[in-house]
Amino acid sequence: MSATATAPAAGQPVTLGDYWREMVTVALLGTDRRDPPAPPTGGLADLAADDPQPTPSQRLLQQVAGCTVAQRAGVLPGASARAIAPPAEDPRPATPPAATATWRRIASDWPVLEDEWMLAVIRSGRRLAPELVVPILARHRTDATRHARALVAAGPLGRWMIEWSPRLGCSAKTRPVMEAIGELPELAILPDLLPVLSASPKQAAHTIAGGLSSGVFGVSHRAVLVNLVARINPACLDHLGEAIGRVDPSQPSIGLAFALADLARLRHQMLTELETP
Amino acid sequence: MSTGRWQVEQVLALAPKPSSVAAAQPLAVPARWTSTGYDDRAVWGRCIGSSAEPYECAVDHVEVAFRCSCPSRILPCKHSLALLLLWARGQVAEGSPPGFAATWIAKRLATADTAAASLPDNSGPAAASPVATDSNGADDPHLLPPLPPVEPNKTRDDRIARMSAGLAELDRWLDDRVRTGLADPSLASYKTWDGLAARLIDAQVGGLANRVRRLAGLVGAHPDWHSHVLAELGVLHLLATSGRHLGALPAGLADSVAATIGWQVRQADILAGVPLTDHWVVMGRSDTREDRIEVRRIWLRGSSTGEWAMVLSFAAYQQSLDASFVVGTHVHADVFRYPGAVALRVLIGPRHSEPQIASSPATSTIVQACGEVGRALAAEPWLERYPLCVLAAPTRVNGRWVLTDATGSLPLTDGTIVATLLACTAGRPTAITAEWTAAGLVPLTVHLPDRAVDIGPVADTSFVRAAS
Repeated sequence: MSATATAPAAGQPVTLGDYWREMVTVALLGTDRRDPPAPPTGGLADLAADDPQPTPSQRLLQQVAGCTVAQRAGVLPGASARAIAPPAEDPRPATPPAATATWRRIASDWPVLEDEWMLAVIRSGRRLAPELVVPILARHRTDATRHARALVAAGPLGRWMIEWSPRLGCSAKTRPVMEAIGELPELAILPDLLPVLSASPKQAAHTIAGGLSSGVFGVSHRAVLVNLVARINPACLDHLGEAIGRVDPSQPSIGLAFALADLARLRHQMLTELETP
Repeated sequence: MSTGRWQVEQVLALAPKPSSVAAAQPLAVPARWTSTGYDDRAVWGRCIGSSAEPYECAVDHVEVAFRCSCPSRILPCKHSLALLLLWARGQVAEGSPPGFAATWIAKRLATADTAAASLPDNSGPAAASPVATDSNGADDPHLLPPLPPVEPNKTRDDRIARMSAGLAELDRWLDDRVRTGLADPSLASYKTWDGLAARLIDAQVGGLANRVRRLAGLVGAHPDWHSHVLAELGVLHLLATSGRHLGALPAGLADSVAATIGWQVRQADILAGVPLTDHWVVMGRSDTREDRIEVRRIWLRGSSTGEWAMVLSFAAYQQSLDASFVVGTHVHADVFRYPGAVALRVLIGPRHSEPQIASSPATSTIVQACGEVGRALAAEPWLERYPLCVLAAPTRVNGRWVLTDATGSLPLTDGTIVATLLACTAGRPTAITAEWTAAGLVPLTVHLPDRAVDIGPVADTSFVRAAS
């Protein structure tokens, strides 16, 4: 049993939008309960007249299809809108595309390098490439110090983005430690290995690569060796990567060696890309 | 991939992650292997592992595929990597493949021959990696699960009859939905839609099955979802009706309808057409997940013609998407268009040069872009995406982000891409490539004065592999 829909009174203007809303209502209720509305005068009414459908549901489907096509193909722009005020100019050069790609790799594979990458950006007098501002602010929104550091690197664009997209703001309950923003956080390193941090490239490579070859270092040392390579004197990295790469593939520690060589090479690449322009 | 012996670096590049190499290295010693060998197609061997039986491993080093009897689901597994490392180091001798490797390679060759002869394209620009490129797909109706095998005695008419029956069933289903109403709680169940999609696949109208699955995702996704779902039901009705009257439609329109509902076109037929040679600028990239397949759309625009073209590539779990097109570059190449009223989709033919950095693109105003989109949708009302490149600024109107210029504004979709767009443009008028969709513009590329920034939706990296 269908109730008959109220047809528009003769001469009453019906817009396509009104007609569509009425059809949505009918579709929600179902044509078993309510008949589809009569189409407004024009192409849709002509369509209904040219190809009459036998049932209310088929009439509704025909009109929905016609109306959808008319609305989509007749897409019209909205009114021109006022532009938003841009952020203040940041005179610093942006990080180069290679550094952007390296950050993505660091974020995915070696987050232990992330703090140093950000500090290197700041110290080199650069700002974050704009495409990095959103992912970096979002990534560190729960860490007050890192978020504050990212804001320094992002410059006025970072603060402007938070105004427009508040979810990029810091959600940490603690306040950032201002001194920590410019400092590289300490990582846990075995006291026995602390001298390696300041050793010559040859000595450092000998200690780490030799330890891997001789079996002194195994998989259980992974975390501490990763920290060591992440903080070792950058001058050692090139030499260290090569030395670790020469570890005998038959050694059980070869997997660890491969990972450490990758870390050393990536850190070297990161620092090279972010040398002061 | 070259048929010569690989370098160790090539093998390492295939590893899904550094730890895979770490796991493979201890196995990459001759003592762990028996029956190793290689020829101009494959490398094989049996790896002595922890199980009683050695794992039988073979790698197709030409088309890059792996086969190993180990239980690992990681592709390539550590045994495959170890075998390749051995080979790369020259520790595998040339020889004839043993049974397991010979059978596998023979099957691969047979499948490739069959695919080339009877199935639509499953290859794109010379794949140098395990890349599934430009087969069937997506909003484009061609993203289909493999078709049910068709017995030799089944005729084309049988298939048409099956498709017609499927279209009729779809229309009945649509009729039921609007008769009982969209408030019906069964619409909230994915089973309702999935069951229909499965029947459409059986009827060999897989293009519509994909649309139905996408439609299921709209239910409840937005406060105004009834309106969106109703519009899509209308488009499905349009396709179901047109699909049953293909013979009465103009040729181009009939091609579009046929392709959209799932009629497949052979790659060889496309490549037999007349190529369009141009310097094709890679304007944008967009990745979307379609059921169990990741789809990449690359939007190209001819430098001399200004015409748009779309290259599709596909990746199942742990496969790679085509990474040979870099946004902001242009490549001198032949492309072959699929038939259709708008005919956006192309196959890439020979490339005549290496990609080069493209200059700033030509842009439209918002009004002009609306005109371009409108013309395309008037020709193919079921189009789900259409590319445009406008000089406009993002701004906010009544709580919604839009792209605006002096001629008007168009709404943007919601999501993080809009935030990245805002950061890259800093709210200033900028050349932007975007995809029109019914839900709003999806920004893909910000063309800055010195470079193009690819901000399009990115494939889930836990699902697809980075291209090697």
